[in-house]
Amino acid sequence: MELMNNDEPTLDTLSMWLQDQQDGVQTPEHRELTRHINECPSCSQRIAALKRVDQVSADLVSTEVAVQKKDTTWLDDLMANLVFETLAGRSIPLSAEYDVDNFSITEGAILAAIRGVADSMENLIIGRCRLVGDVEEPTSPIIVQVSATVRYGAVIAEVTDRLRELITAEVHRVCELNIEAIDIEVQDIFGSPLEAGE
Amino acid sequence: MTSTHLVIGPGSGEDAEDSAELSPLRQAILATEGVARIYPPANVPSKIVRAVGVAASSVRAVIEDFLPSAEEDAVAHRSVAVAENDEGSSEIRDEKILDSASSEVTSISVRIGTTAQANVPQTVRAVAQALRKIHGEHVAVTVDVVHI
Ligand SMILES: [Zn+2]
Repeated sequence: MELMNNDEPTLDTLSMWLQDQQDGVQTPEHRELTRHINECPSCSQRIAALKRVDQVSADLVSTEVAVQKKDTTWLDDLMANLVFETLAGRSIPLSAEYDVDNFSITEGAILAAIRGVADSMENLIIGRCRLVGDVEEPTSPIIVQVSATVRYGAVIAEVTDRLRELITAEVHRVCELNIEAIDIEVQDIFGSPLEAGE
Repeated sequence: MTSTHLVIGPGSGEDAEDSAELSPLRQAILATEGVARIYPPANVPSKIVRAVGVAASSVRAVIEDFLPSAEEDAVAHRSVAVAENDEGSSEIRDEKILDSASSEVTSISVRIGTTAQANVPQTVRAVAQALRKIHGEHVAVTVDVVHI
């Protein structure tokens, strides 16, 4: 019954759990998985991300039904990165007043925070998100690399500037990394009316 | 001289009966501004988990007492773990914890999740301060933020 570390639920399982949760399912298996999710940072971050994916796709379905079927590369990209980003990853040190203390935050928690602020933006969906550099070394220069898909009609420079502001503020809130640059690569446009008109 | 390491886990929930010694520490951590929750320990030494026969995920407290100059392997003089569903014997075990914990705790570690608006570096420092109020200036505190 007990879910061990080497027996992590798959994304599919988590996705089904989310569906069951919304349907009010109350089986022992569901409760067991609920308990695991509540105690597992990776799984709860995955559930949070899956909920946001649901939300974004629901928004798109309601506003741009015709495009939805063709326009899913951003979704594939996001899903492909989800598992990687919600792993705990590297341990990033936080400063302490006492030498004997040992404070840290996981790379996965930072990436989840960055994804969280990016998801608050309506005109952009981020795909990949990485911290490049020696994050385990306190003063080492770090580059945040993000790939993004921008909504058709939005001004790309405005959207990416806003994303940069939000990421800067969020990284400062959650850790003490020395961010040298935030590289945003716009890979695609979603919600194009050209496709919708076909 | 022996050293005692306390690993704080989430406990068994708000209204369940809890370990007498660890619950004030838990409460102090949870009362710290910016802390949303406590996560179970990640790397409970497998040796100890095997010794007490419980799954790592259900261990909520492990205390190891090491002899002074013992080799790393010569280990766990006394190791105590409290399993969540182990109602029958948990009180006796808790007394042992109380015994060793109140005398000579040298380090405490905990994994936490923080709230959506919290300043994370400030929050972890505040957690360490709260634990020092209970166990004194000398105690070494390890805080790992695993969820935001
Ligand atoms: Zn998990």
